[in-house]
Amino acid sequence: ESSGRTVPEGVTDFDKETENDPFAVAEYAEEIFQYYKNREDIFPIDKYIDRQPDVSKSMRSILVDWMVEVQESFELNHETLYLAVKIIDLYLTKNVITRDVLQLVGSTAIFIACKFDERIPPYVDDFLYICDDAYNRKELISMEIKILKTIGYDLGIPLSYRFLRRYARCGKVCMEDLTLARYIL
Amino acid sequence: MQKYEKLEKIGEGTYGTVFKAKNRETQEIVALKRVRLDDDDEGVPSSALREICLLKELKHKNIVRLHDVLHSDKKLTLVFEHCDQDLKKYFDSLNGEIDPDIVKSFITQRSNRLSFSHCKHVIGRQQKYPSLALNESGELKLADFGLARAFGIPVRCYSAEVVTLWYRPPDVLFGAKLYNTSIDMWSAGCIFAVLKSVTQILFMGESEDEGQYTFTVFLNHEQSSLGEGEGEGQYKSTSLHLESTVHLSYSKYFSKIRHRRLNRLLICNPALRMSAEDAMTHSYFADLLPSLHNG
Repeated sequence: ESSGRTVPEGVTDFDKETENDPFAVAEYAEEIFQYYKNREDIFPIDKYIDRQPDVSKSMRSILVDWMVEVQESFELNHETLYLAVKIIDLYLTKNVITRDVLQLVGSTAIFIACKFDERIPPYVDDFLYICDDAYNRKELISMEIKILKTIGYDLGIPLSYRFLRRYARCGKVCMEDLTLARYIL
Repeated sequence: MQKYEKLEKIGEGTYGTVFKAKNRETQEIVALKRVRLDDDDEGVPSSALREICLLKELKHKNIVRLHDVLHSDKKLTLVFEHCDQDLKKYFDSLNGEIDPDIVKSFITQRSNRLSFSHCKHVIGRQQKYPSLALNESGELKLADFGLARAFGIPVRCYSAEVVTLWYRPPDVLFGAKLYNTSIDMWSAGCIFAVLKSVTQILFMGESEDEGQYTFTVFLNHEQSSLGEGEGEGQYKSTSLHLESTVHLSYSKYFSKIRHRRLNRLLICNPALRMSAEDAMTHSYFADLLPSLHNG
């Protein structure tokens, strides 16, 4: 309680309100979000599409749309999807790829994000199936290592989705506005 | 594995074997943890993936340092800093006597590390004294992160099968899947008790059922006012994990480890359990040097 943080006058202290809700982790919320902010610089993503002769903006957006479908059919958390997209962007920032492996990168990214965050991650076979067996097990597993090496085995990547939820809760944004904001994200 | 010369097998981790080894160039002694990757497997096991990622993220003097991750065809090798002994060996060498100042120092280091991880969105879920290691300068290090995970806000449901049984808090023991940083604090209390008594384990049980039973019997002894539904077979239906605010007093059973602080860590209701943050400012540490507080 004596962490020395102050809330501007006239603003209600959201963490104070949720003090007794153990699942809001109010005691650590402020620090955790500060920590996320500090970590943002570790994961720079630039306009890598300019360096990818074989991949275009629209291909990335088709890939992400497909990943949203995967998220729905596997019933994954939103954080898993956002983490997977981050993983792709980080990988493509550092590696030039050809379009035929784009979907492999995408599904492997979901595969990794699931292992990190989901309670019961789907199996390799599930991922091969959703790619219509375009890739084999060996390719997926070696892509997993490639991606992990590229991003330095660090998956503590700050996610826009977490910030949005935090802002919405603190600002008591109504469900409609939040849904709109989610859509924009 | 040319870079390292294997010296001896140290043990088995959550996954894979651990070896003591020497860096051929620098002569540095390290611990190598090997994760096998089979072609017909699921790639990197998720426990290994989480351990690697979280250790890459968390650098603290009370958390064992992950120097490097080596990948070769069929395995991943994690290169850790080497610690001379684990807490269990250390206890065995003490013949049942422990200096209270050492206990205090250990507990400070533990609280320090827990508060550090909790501020960085990580819960350990694996607090037991055999996974704590010591180096020659008396620094206590958590050496096993195989069950740790990052948590989000608000917390979601995670696995209930976490934390070695004897250190599992009652809410989780009775099946709660929704828990937060308080899960580590219960275990911290159990370890504190272990430290004070030099190895007396509080809640032993060979299986989840037995663990629940031991705990229920214990609780009924202490708080006969808890009332109806006592006894074997009934404990599963009690909703004690969310409503009960029973303070456990160990005085009758464990006179050696009677301590106010335990009562604040070993509280059934996770919401009322003391946090690592509060633990650091507890009067128990009042006479410690300020340098230790910030360490």
